[in-house]
Amino acid sequence: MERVRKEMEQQRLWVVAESQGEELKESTYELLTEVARLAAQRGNKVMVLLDTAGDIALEKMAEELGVYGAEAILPLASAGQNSSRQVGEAIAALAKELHPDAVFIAETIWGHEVASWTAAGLGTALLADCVELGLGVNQELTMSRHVYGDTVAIKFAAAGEQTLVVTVQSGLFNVKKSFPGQKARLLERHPARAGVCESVKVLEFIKADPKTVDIIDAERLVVGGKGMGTAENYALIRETAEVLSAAVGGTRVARDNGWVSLVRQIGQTGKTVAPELLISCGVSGAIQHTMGLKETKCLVAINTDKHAPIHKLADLSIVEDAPKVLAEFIAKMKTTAERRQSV
Amino acid sequence: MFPRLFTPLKMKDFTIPNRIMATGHLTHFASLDGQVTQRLIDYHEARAKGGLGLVVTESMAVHPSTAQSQYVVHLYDDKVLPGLTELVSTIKKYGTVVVCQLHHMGREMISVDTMRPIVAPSAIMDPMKREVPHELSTAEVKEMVGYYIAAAERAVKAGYDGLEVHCAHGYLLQQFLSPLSNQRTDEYGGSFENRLRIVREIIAGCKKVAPGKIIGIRIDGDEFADGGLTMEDVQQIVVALDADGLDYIGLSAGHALNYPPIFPNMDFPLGCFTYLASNIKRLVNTPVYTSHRINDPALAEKILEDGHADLIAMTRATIADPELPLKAKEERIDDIRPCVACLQRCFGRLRLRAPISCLGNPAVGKEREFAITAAPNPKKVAVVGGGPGGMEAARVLSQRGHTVVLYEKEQELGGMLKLGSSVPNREELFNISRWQIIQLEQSNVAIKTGHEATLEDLKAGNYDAVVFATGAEYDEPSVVFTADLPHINLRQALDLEDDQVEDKNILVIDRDFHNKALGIAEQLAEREAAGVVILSSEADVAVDLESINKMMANERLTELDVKWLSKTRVEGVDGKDFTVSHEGWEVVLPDIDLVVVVDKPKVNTTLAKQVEQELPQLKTYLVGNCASPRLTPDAIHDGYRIALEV
Amino acid sequence: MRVVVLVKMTKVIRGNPYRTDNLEALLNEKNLALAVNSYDLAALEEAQQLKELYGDVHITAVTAGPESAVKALRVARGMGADELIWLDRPAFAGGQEMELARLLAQEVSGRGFDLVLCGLKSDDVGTGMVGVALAGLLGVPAVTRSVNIGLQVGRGSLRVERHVGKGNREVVQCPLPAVVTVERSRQAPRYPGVARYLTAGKKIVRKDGTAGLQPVTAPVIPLETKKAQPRPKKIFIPDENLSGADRMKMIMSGGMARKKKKKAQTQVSGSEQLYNFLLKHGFIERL
Repeated sequence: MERVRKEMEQQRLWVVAESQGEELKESTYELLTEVARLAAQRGNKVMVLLDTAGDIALEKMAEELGVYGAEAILPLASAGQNSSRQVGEAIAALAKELHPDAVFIAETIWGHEVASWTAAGLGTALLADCVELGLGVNQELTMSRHVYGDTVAIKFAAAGEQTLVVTVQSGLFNVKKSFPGQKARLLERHPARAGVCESVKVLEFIKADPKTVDIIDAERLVVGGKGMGTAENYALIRETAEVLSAAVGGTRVARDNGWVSLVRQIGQTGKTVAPELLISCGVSGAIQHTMGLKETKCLVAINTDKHAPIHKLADLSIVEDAPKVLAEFIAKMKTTAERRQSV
Repeated sequence: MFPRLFTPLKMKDFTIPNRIMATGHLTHFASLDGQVTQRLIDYHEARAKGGLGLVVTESMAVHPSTAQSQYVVHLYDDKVLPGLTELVSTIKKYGTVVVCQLHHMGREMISVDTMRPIVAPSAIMDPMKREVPHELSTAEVKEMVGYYIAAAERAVKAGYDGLEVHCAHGYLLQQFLSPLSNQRTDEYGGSFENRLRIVREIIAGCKKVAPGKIIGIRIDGDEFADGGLTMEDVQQIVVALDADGLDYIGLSAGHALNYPPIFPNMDFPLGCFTYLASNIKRLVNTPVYTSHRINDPALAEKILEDGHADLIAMTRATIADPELPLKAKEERIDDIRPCVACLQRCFGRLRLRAPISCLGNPAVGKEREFAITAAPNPKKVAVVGGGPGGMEAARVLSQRGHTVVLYEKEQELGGMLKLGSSVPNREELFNISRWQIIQLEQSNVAIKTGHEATLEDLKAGNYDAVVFATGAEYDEPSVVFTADLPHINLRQALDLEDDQVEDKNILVIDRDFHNKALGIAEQLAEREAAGVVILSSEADVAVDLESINKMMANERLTELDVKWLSKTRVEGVDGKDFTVSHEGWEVVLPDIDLVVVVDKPKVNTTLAKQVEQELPQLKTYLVGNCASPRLTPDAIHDGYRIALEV
Repeated sequence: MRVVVLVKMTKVIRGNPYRTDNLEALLNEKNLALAVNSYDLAALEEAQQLKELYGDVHITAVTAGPESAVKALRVARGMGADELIWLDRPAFAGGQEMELARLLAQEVSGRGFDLVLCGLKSDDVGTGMVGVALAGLLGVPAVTRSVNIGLQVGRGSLRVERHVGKGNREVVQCPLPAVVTVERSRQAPRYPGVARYLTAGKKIVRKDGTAGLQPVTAPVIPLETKKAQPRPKKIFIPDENLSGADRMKMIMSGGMARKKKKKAQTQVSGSEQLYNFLLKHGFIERL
């Protein structure tokens, strides 16, 4: 045990990973890439702290994270529910003992809470939502954060011996496998339990309303383009979305015609979406639009033009008039629903 | 609507009024003896007036051994000072910050233009121009640095606000930076430091002769060539140069080994090289500009908002519409004439050693003679045909105060451009007509779609003049090799049913010599024809198509397994097997099912001829294909020109 | 039930901050306004909602800071607070969140409470840490990002809807006493009643906000302050291990691989195909 402690003291920079099911969130990789860059410059090692409440295969993770620059992985065994306080307080306790230079966490809802509990546990300030990390003249850590509604940037430098607690904005840093062949050491599990928060119980989960959810967050989308032809036909997109509990999106043409607003436009001048299901109706699939679809898991394309580029990307191609297909589909779904009610 | 785009940017003591800029670009408006012309001044004045924040004028020659296509400003000679001074002071009148680009082509020159040996860091043949350059001696390199600095001094005298050292596009300075073209063993080659030395000396010299002025560079963010500079190499270079003190860094792409990115055509996704700027911006505090396929203020604003760059180069977009910044500021987005990256009249004309123009904007380089002025005697004018040429005529006529009626026999406007933009990867072309349609809808032109104009219409309308833009049509194929096989024209090929295409072997005969044979071949291949072969009698298929569009099309066709053969003659047909001669070889193309003959279309002047006979007193004009079958930009140019004549 | 609501004033930049890159001009006194922190208004609204729904709720608003901070208490009074506490002291600087949390913990625990409500974070500096730190110091459970707070039957615990990202919510049960940070109130914060606002001065209890606090050393020092420029967002980059030609190909395709699939040879109508596909992939259920 003493040896493990000694080794952990070598890890000057800590990165707290956030899991999502069996995987880690993209923001974790962004942060790890950036922290590993700093660590390499300072001659430090990076330790990733990982809440094991998710379904993470630790061995595999150790192999994977090494490539991004992790030297060691410390699994934290939390109770799962409301893990942010357990993890945060456990990290604070560990940091009090091992004095890392900084604990970095990606700024997400969970990440912010873990960071708050860690900082509170250490009795130190929280450097939240930083947008830039770097090194000062004496290799000390520096970080910038924006205040006053993104108007003023303040750059800070570490001073003194305290462990910094830093959260870093997601979606800024490019992910890069900078350390090919490196494998992280998997350390022994460390308990992360805090009594007081276990009294908070989760009762229920309420899904976002697809009508109002930001299309970036939507799990299902029905998207219409030029081929919908008219505003009346575009109403079929809304109706289909309603039937499937999906959100509505549009192409640039749909926006230009006033069928959807700019906040619902997908593509290069609009938003990038990442739904589980996207039904694309009357969209030819110019690359300016399809670049916004890159993260779509399952794509259905309905377009009369069988040569439309969108069909090449689709998991299901339907070469028919989109308004007709949608009208029939809505009718079918409605009769099914009626029959279900009468059963 | 675009708060970041219209936030001024301070650079040294200069305030750039907005974030839209034009990069240094050759126009061929300079005279043969290297002087600034009135045309060049007018061209830049229109863009400064249109609200450009920053303009980098022409790539200017710093040494007599460089003179790209001859029509380039001789910045190496004091003779240019009066003209240059006028150019700069004219641009500055509008608050636009103006920067001079110091340029030397290196081995990208051809000696035809200079009648001198071309020069480069090493005597390695240029992969595109195929000339072996003279390797500059160490003394000559130092002399070259002197020329750069002397040119810089001249630019300062002319009143420029800044200098841009051109290290991009595979020209002389990139040739020094890249190990692919620099194999010197003296102090200017070998190590990283040595390869950077010439650029550093030039930058240091510029700072000395231009104190207080903006000093920037433009550099390729990645050479995309094996053994060449990678993105990481360039990052290292930029960080090193930036440490010497730069005021801006421009990121670009493309050089002899990877040419199309210099002038990305519509195959390239919008903003496709912004990531190069973004990755530099992460490393430096100096303002960074990005370029390449940014044709829309919304995209420009998004790039600024996402922090990828500080300035947005919209060079071709402001060629297409010099008033883009102004219109964006006034939120008249639909009024911005789009750049569709067709290359036909900017790059295409440069390649023909002609001054640039623009497919959508005939007034480029003719700012004076093509100024739209109110007509002294407003007339009633009929325009027959709503293709790009007819629409342009109607648009300009109406702006001049004429009363215009536009007849189009089909339900939708757009004419031949509807076909032209229906083949793969040409969809964007239609944006030109989309813009024209929006402009016409906003004007007082009476638009009669679905109405084929007749002699009676023209009689009844009491017109003072008629503009015919009735286009051209595809006739019977001009050649039939065998009666056993169907031979069809382009129009019929576009209308083929799926079962007529799928699993068929199709021969495409290129007698149009432009993009059309490639377009239809690609479309047929995408429609899952078994095999498509293009034959041309000329030195190359699509021999008149400019090189970048052709290179990109060739890549796509290769991927689709389309084959092509130039310098051919069909020698005989045996059943379905074609025997073709090609440079002394006989090639058999077996099992052909269908022959598509892509001819030039035949002019459609039926109505014009009727009018000539029946209504001889009516003044008539011909625009576009119905005058002589040419291309979309010719039709638009005709329309504009005729509208000024009426 | 004793509810304590923590409120503060935040600095707001007037006008369009894009108009200039000159920070001094932007942060000129004339350009700065003080406003009650928007999340604190939401917290006040939620407290008032609790009072209206369940009665017998005593609301104490607490603020810390110089004279200018008092306006937050006036607004709190206008929105229904019963008691107003002003911890008089110089303004806290960024990085002093722990000191603030200790000061508040001292005040809150001294007077006794069932529920502490505070805004999720402040509009200006916004580290969003005080609520959590306070719960830690008080040793009570905390619920963050509430969008709707209710009491459970028996009133020994709360039923809180909290935002968990992507517009989704989670309902949690939390025993009292507790700290809840408020992201949004169930309805827009009400306007303060004018009469109560104007007479709030008499209600304000001023306390010394400097007593018994040890200063905390900041872990960082500010190096530089400038006009914020957007930082580059993550952007698509072709894989650097590929050859030059392949990197170009990735750029040309926007990084999206074309999917190879069998040619559809089907007589089934489009709507049937869609229905069957959605069924097969579990997006809809069979009858």
